[in-house]
Amino acid sequence: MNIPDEIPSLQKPARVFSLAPEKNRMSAEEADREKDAALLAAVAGGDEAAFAELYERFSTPLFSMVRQMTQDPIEAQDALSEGFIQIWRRAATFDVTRSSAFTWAVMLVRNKTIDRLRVRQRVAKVRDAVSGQITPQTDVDLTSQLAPHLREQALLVRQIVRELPEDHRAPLELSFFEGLTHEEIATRLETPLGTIKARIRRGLQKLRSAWKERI
Amino acid sequence: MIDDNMLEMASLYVLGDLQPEQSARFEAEYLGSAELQELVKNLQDDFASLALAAPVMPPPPGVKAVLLGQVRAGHTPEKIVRVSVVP
Repeated sequence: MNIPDEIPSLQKPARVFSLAPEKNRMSAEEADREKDAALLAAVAGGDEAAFAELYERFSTPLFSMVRQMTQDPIEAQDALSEGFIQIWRRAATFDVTRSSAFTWAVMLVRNKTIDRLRVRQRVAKVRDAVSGQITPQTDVDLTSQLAPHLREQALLVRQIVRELPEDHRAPLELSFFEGLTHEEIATRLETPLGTIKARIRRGLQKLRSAWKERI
Repeated sequence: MIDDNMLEMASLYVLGDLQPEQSARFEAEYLGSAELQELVKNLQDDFASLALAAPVMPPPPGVKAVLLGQVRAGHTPEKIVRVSVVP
């Protein structure tokens, strides 16, 4: 799979980060998550400055996701804008006891993007245009442009995804990035529906196990 | 203690692959179990983390200004209470 590898320029911050005591590292990540949640709470109260700051923290990973989903820069820009308007309007629905702010934002923007793809009947076109694997749109890895707490997470998740067996990884990616139903994935991969459901479920559980081992 | 069956149900719930009646039963369990709530939260985080596997690409620079303009032009945050786990 063509997930970009780590590049030398990323190794320095990653190494410096990992040299810190584990407790301090987790505290920093926890502090970042708390800041995300506090910003969302402020956005719910109509705080435009908090919205602008949240945009700075989340826009790059969210745009990367919708760019991957749509395979179209203009469509991706529209999806990002619509997603952030939804974040602004629905911030009050965020519940810190149920998910992290980043997870909430990802799922909100992803769901809206899937709606856009379906409404515009672009799914079939995208299916024809992509192989179902994550493919880079540039030759340059811009991971360093992510917020620090998401940067290390991005490197980890790429490593975890790379290590998943292909027959578990492909259905999971098709589910996440193309929003295909399990039936659609079964058709695409010419695999029985029950097998696809089991592989996606196991793929998610493998992700959970891998995260637990690393963190 | 979460058994294998409940782990399966939690995974299917996060993936949106439960039938409505299964989902209702699961949510009843979910509301009564802090351990299950923690598991669902973690599984959701894992699923959402796949967003970070995409090649990184910053948005065009003008998007932020347009968005802030739209927000100032009258889009107001909704004051509603969340009722489902997944937005």
